Amino acid sequence: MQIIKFNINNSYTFVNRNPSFTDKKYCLTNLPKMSDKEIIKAIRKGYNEKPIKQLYLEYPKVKALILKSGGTALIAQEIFNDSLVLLIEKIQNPSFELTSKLTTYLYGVNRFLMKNELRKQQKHNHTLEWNDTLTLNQEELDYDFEKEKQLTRLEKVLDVISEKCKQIFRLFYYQKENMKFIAEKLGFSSESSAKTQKYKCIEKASKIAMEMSHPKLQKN
Amino acid sequence: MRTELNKIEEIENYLNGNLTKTEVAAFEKNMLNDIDLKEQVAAQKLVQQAILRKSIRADVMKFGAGATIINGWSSKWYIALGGGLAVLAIIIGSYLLLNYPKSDLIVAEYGQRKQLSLQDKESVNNYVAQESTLNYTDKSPSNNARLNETNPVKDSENSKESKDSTRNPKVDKTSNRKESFIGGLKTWATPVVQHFEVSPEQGTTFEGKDGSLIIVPKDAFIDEKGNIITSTVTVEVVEALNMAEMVGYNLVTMNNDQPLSSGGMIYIQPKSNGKDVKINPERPLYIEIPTDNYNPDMMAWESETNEAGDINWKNPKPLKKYLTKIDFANLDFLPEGFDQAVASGMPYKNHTETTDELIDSLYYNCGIISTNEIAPAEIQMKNSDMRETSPFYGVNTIKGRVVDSSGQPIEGVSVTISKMGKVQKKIKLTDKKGDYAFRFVTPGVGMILFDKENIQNRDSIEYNPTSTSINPIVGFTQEITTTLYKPGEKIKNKKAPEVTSIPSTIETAPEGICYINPQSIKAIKSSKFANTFLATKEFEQRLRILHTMPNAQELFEIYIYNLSQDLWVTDQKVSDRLTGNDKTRFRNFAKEKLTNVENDCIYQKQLSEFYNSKKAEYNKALKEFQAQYSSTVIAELEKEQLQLSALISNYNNLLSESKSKTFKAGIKSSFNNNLISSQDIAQTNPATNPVFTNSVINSSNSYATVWYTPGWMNIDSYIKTLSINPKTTEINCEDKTPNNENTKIYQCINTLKTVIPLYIANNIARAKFPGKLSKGSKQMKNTYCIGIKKDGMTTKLAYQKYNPYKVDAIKLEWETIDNNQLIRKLKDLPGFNSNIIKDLKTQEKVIKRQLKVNRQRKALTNEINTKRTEVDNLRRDIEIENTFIKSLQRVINSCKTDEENLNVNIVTTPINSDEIDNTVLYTDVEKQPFYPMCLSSEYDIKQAASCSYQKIQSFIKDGLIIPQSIIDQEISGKVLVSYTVSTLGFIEDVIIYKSLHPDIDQEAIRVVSLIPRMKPGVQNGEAVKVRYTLPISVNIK
Repeated sequence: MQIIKFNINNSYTFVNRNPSFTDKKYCLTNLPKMSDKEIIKAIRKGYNEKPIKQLYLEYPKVKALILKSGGTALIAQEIFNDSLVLLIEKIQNPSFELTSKLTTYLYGVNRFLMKNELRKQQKHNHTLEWNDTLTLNQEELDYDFEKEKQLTRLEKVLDVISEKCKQIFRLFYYQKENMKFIAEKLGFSSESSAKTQKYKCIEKASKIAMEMSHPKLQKN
Repeated sequence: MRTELNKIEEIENYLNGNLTKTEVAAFEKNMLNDIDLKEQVAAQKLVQQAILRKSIRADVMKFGAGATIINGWSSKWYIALGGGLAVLAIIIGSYLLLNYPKSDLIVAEYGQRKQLSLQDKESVNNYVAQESTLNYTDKSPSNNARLNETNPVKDSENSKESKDSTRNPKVDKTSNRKESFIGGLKTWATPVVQHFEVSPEQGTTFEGKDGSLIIVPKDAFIDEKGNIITSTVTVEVVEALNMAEMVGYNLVTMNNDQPLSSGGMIYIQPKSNGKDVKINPERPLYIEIPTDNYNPDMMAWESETNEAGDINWKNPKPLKKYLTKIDFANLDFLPEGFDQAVASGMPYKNHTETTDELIDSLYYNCGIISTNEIAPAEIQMKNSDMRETSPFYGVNTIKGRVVDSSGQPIEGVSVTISKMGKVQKKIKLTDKKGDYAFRFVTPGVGMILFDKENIQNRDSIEYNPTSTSINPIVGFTQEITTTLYKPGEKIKNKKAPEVTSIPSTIETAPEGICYINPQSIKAIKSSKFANTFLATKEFEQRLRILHTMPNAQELFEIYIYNLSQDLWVTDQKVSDRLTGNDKTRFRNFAKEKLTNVENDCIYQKQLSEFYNSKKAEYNKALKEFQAQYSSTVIAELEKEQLQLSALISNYNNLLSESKSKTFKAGIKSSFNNNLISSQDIAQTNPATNPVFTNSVINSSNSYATVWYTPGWMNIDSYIKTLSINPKTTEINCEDKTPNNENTKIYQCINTLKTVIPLYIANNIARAKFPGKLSKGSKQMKNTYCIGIKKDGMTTKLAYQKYNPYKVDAIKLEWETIDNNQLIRKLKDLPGFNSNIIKDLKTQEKVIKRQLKVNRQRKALTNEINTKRTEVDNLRRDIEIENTFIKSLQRVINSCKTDEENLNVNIVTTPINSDEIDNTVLYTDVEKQPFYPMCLSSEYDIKQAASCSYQKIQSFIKDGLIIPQSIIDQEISGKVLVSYTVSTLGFIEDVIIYKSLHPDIDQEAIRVVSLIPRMKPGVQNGEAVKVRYTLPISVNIK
């Protein structure tokens, strides 16, 4: 049974009697809701679509909070995407244990990133009064600024590598396919040649990564 | 597999936990010893993480709301294109660019720029090489030197004539050369160099052919050692004030990479004995450049040129303009169009031509100007009622009374007030006491028209719809005793000017309102104020605007009370009191930062002399033109009259020969002519109000600065909008002939006067524009792309106009042209030849238009009068003939005459005139014209309509007096009278549609035109003309 309420933003919300959903609001979608456990399970199995879609429903609220804290729409979009990436990365790590509700954790990550952003812009006087949000610190998140910077750069680099490398990387590391399958799919003559290709790709990419961590080398 | 790759495999296995425990231990031990390995592991780990993150991000972007998919990393797979490792090499190169994620676009463009400019430099080097060889063959180091060599003979000839000769510059056009340099700038077209001789001991003022003013104070030039030069100095001047010249001379408007908006460029190079000399920093030149579109953000820029001959602008400095005092006699402080209004009223009294004295005296008294012969004495206005509020502070009520010659008030006179130059009109009818009042009149100079059509007592007035009005110019006539300056006020000239009483040139002047008290204008034209900013053309310009404003007198007095302040301070004060457009105008004046007249300024004397002579010259030219034109108009008019009278006599001759049937046709046709004429007049009348545009010489629109460095100078301002949200259009400048080395593509925005050079790569140039919705985008809609190239001897030009928001790519079509024709070709483009000295020509146009209308009106009035007398004559003839025929008939049928049964029965029924009259203006309207008495609230629209019919019927029944001749001749029948109810409700254009007898026709016209003013018909919410045809039946029994 559902009770439809009308809220100020003209969007319909409903409260589900299911105790696991308690009083949190979910916008009307056609998707059946996943519980936190289901989301984690799906992500660990590599099915990202549904979890991302569901978590993205939080975006308008987060955006409002970020705008309130002195951000722009663009920053809100960036921060929310980054936090989703971080969250999924965290979940993919088998040792990750959820201590709060997943959405609360997501808010916490967002808050942390926004704080970061404000520090970058040297706006220290902004108070982040986000109600009912976890206050996560750097250690809790295991967030290394230097590493993040390098990762962001590397991501850019990966944009311009060859299409074949991209495909190998994605299939192997992300979709965890075996090399035989990859060789077949991408039309390599043998599994070993696909492997060689993969290592060549990694060699180049890690070379760049090394140069990045050694600014002096970079100049040479 | 290579060993390095084996290493990678090992690391990967380690990272992904594919090693056994012992293997892990061994690997970790290796890592401890091998720092390189450790680093490699870290790097590889990072790469793996980045790959994972990239994939996650792609998913987030894909599945998250409204995000875009990053190519290649989303779940969808695309068929791989080759590439392989080679592409990875690019990564390192492009890594630099990707290092700044948030400014990708800009960085990318810079990158492109850098590469392109490298290419450019190469082409430039070729260019230079080619050039130098060309110069070598010419055996002259530069164009300038050559020019100077030709000059000395002329110089010595002309040096005796000092100032006059400098006003007429010798213009040197060099022969068709392949390369032209001027001040280090490589130009496409050969510049037009003007030479002015200056004797440094005196100093000179000279004016360029396009209106730039250059003032050389004495001892203005020094040689290399810093000694003041005493021998004659020749100043070379090149003006580039319009787009055509800027493009033709390769004068781009760029400050490094920033586009500028130009207000004009000028090249000044003083030379002594063929050598460049410097400007004395203690006595710099003063330069004024005219403009028709003043921009307060302009600055003066110095030039620098590179070895390729391209120009760059640098070191902007704020402009400094000196106020120049001018003799009051040369300034025009009257409201715009006043003199024209006076001219259009000529001849007036004993004056046949306008003179300054007449115009001034009329303005100071704001008296009646009658446009026709009817004596103004017929309508008198009671002075005491004229003003309700003080004229000094925004009068907005005009009241008056209309009385006849015996002093009796006249009811129902329609009084129309119309502002000069505006369409707005108000109409009132006088009440029983003859009073009328207009409230909330927008201030300004206007006309009050009295239409006597409805005056009952008009026996002596012939029916004549066009000449029964007098139109006095609204204004003061009452003596003003208020002095302008309160005692104790701090003014430079402490004595309050005396205000004299009005000269009695006009006896019957009605009282009205001028919005600046003419007496105060008279007062400031005194020698006491000759050294204040009042005696400047800048103040003249402000006053012209003040004249059109509601609280003009108040604002005017702000200027008067602040004579000791700088002009801009007062401008600021005035702008504080204003709102809207007026506020911006005066704020812009304030931005000009005009100080007061500085009498100790070294340029003041020269400036005054120059502007005085210039103004006098201009005024003289204007008057001459006016007089000349007037005389030609009069001559034409006389000619027309002759033609007309010839026609009339012919017409009469013909008519007198014809029979009575044709007479009737004759009457009809002549009346129809009459109708057309009066309509024509109605159309031309509104245009008699002069519409004047601000002329340039009369206004202060010019940029001025003190200038220290010879060479090119530019009056420019930054364009902020160009760099935001760029939208690009690709310009394909490919030509069939492959040599593109000397090609240049310019992006020209003629509204901004901006010339941006575009970089060409692979025959493609990219023009940048602000985003479609951003502020500057409107100005971009008509952008020109101009390409010029020189292939050896030939010059090629390509131009295309485009709207960057509609096209993303254009292709240029090249045409070969004669190099001498380049500038002329460019000038043909709209907006590229903005000749700033055009004021006299604009004035000419306006005067011509003005006089043309006058002429037309006069001619038409004449024609009508002639026609009317003609018709009268005809009518008399016909009457005589008819009487004759009737008398003959009576003789024949004498038995039927029975004078006892004489009875008049008039039947009038309004009929739909559609069937009979095709010349209708409106016959069927939403709301028909109503008879005035049918307008009370008791009637609804339908009732009002039927009421109107009844009233009109009874009006005609009561008013129609059957002429004795009709009774005598027992004429019965129908007269069809057609009339128009004008948009103002007046009965107009009364004509006989079907004639019965001249006498009854005339009577019908008389009565119908006496129908009181009706409420006009309404169609689509607007008052419209409605035409009726009214049958009047006459039965004599």
